Amino acid sequence: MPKIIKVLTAKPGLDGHDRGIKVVNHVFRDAGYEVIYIGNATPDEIVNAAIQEDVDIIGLSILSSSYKVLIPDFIELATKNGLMNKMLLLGGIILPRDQEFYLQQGFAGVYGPGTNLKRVVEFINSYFQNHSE
Amino acid sequence: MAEKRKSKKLSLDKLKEQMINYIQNIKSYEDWNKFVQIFMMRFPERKKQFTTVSGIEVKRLYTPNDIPELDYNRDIGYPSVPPFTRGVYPTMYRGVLFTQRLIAGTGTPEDTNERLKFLISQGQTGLNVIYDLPSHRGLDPDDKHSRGEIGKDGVNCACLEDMRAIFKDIEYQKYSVSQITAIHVLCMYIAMAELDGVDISTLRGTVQSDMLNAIQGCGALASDLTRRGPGVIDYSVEICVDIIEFCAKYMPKWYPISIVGRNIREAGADAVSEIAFAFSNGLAFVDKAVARGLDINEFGERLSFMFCCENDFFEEIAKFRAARRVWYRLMKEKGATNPLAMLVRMHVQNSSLAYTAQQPLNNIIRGTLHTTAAILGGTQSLHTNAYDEAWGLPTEKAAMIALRTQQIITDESGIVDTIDPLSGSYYVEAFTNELEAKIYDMVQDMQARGGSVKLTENGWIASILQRNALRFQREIETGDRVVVGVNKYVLEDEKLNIEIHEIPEEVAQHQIERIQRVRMERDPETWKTAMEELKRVCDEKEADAKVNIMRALIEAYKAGATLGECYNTIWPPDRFLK
Repeated sequence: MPKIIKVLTAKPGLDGHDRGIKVVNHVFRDAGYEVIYIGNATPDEIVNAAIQEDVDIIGLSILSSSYKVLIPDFIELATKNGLMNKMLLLGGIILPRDQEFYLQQGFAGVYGPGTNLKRVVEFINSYFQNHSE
Repeated sequence: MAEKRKSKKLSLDKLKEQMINYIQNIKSYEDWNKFVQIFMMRFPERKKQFTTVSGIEVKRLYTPNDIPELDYNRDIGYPSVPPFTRGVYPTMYRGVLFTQRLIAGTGTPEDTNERLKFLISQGQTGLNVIYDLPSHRGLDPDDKHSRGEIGKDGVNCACLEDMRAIFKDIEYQKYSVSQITAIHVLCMYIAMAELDGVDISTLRGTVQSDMLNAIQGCGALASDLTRRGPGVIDYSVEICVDIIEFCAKYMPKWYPISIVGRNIREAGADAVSEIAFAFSNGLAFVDKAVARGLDINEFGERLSFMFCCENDFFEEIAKFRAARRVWYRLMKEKGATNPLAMLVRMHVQNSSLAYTAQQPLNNIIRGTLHTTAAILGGTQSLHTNAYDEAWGLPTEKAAMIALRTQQIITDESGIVDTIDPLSGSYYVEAFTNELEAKIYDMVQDMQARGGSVKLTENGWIASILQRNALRFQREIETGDRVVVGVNKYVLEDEKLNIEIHEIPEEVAQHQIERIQRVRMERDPETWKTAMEELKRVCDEKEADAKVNIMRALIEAYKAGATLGECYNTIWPPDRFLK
């Protein structure tokens, strides 16, 4: 388990609904994680930041259906840059069939509206406990 | 055992006798309160404290003692008469119903044209067009930042040809047309009307245009603009004043700004701060307009507002009533003397945040309650969110149910048949007073701290929004705030069982091809001259805020300029970095 879990959070694209991600950032900080929030960014800006900051988790929030283009873009770039072994989290309005698809593609969690953030923190903590061996 | 039961029965009988005795002797509030305390020893209330969505305590009972100072003529008055508690028009909904104005805006301009025609055919009385993120943010469809976003959260509109496609075969000059966007789309609309030979002084409608709300409620816009350097927010407010000034001169029936509380509410404000932020923003526009030499008694008549309607039924009704009183007071303090310049004419869009992705059909009920509250609060125009709001833009079916919600209330329930029916309720009047005081105090506090522009720049507003959003989330997680289907009455393994409106990705290609063709086909000389003029005017404005850029922008769109070209001329990345 990393000493301090380091998280990069971002909003891919132009979607301005940042209430959710800001709450998530706060809850993550309360959980003891180091959170780097870069706001709205293109998939390549996100990937670059994740490499530079050498984070453990990349958390993306998107409440616009633009995710259908931007998340595949991100996956392609993350694969190319060897980031798919990071813990990838996605939150927002994601249709169920796409949720399943992104989970298959390598996202560890995909969350919709109404998610209990305590459970997300528990999930992250147990993920890193299991991956520490 | 039998002994025990008997003694219990005896004590119950005795208690009942005592109660009857007590009830017969209750002559005052104090007596009743004493009785309640005894009653509660045996039958406690469901909660220790009852509070509204905004965290304001709700008392067990409201009586005349809660409004001892209330003077009917001074504090409530008559509809259309200061302080406007009961509404802004003399006959309210008995004369004209609120405008049923559902948002349309999806995919290509052609798609939106189709949706608008459908809504008109279903009896909608006003048009309400929402634009996509690239259109809001001044990006052409082929800009790399537009990737994935075209037509997703509204219609894409990046040039005059797009605007014409949105309104093709619609007699837009006959409708009140609300545009959820800012200066660019308005200028395209004016350009279209002028080229169609429509007298623009007859155009009716509203443009949202409130840059302060947009910056406060949208982190993306805030960071994009502030990246452009200090002073950008002030400059943006001046651009809004350009619209106010232009409309005052040439489009007297148009509402040049809709001062928005709604989006700030959804970003984290509560009932008090929603209105306080909106009014503080409103005062920033008023101050700048007055500084420009505009007459508050004239432009004041053309200010309009947009608010949210959240779950707490009575809090929202009291909020709308209180808002009218506070704005009246604030405008009076600013020196307005024309009562029509102190009115809160409002559009309401109910809360999207209150809608759940879980059990989405439940949102029809939420929408009905919100819609009813907004009507009881006296709104002039209303959008009810469709039940699929938490999943995407509405399907035609969902949009129709939202419209029918309004129509059932107006045509079947009788709620609209008398004006302000809740007035005189001890609770509603006491709560209206309480909210009025809280909102007014918060506006005063914000003025004392330097006003909206400063409080946007220094993050004061953002921090309040965030604090509230966090409190809200915690309340949901602890169960203190019930959200049906989310933290109570949850369906295990719920499957999404509604149809979702999906935007095909071909929309982007369609829009990219069009903008590229427009750039090729326009007359380069005319375009160049118009763009140089726009740049000259913007440079002048930088030195002298009073310079108005509207005419130059309208002419640029007529000359085939694109949104991205104009946006970057008005807000060039280097303009504010000097």
